[in-house]
Amino acid sequence: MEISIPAELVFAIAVALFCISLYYYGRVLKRLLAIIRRPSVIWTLPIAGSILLALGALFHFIPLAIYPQLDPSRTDQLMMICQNRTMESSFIFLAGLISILAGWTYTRWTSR
Amino acid sequence: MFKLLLYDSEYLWFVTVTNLVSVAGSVLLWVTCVLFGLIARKYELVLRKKTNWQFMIFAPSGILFFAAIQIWAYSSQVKMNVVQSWIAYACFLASGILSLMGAMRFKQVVTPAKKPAAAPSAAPASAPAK
Repeated sequence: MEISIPAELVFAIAVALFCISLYYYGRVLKRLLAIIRRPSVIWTLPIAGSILLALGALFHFIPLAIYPQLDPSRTDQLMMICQNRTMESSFIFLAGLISILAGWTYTRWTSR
Repeated sequence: MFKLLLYDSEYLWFVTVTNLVSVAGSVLLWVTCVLFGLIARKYELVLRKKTNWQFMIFAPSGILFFAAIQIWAYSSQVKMNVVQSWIAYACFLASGILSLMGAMRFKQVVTPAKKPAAAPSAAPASAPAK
C-alpha cells in the first residue's frame, strides 16, 4: 500500500489545530458558565475531547510503518492495521461525542 | 485484499463498522464546531459583542469534504489512496486553521478585559489632608 508522508504530516498538523481549537472551546465554555453563574465541570469535556482526538491521531500513525512492507500472508500485520484503525475511529468518534455533549448541555441550560 | 484475508465477521467489524464510525466521528467534529458557532451567535445577540459566529459556522465545512472523501474511498477500498489523502487532509487542515482562528476570536471576546492599573498619583490624592 502506498502512503505519502507529507500528506500524513498535513493530517497531523490539522489534528493538532483541532485539538487546540477544542481546548479553546473548553476555556470559552468555562467563562460562559461563570457568566451564567452555573458552576459545572462540563467545560472539561471539550478539553478531554482534544486529548482523545490526539490519541486517535496516534493510532492513525502507528500502522504507517507497516504499510510500505505489508505482507498479505502475515495476518498479524493485517490485524494490527485493522485494530489500530478501529481504535483511531473510536477515539475520534468519542472526541466529537463528548464535545457535542458539553455544547449541547450549555445550550440547553441557556435556552428557555 | 482485506476482504479476501479476513473472516466475514472480522471484515464487518474492522472494516465496515470502523469506516462508518470514522465518517461519523468526522461529522460529529463538524457538529461540535457548528454548535460552538451557534453558542457564539447567542452570546453576540445577548451581550452585543461581535463574535464572528458566521465565520465559526462556516470554518469547519472542510471536515464535511473530508468525510465525503472518506465515504468515497471506503466504498471501494480500506484506505484512502495518495491523491484522496492529499485532498482530504488539505480540506481538514484548512478547516483546522479556520476553526482555530474562530475559537481564538471567541476566546478573546469572552475574556474580560484587564482593568488598567491605578495611576500612581491616585493614592496620595485619597490620603487625608493634613
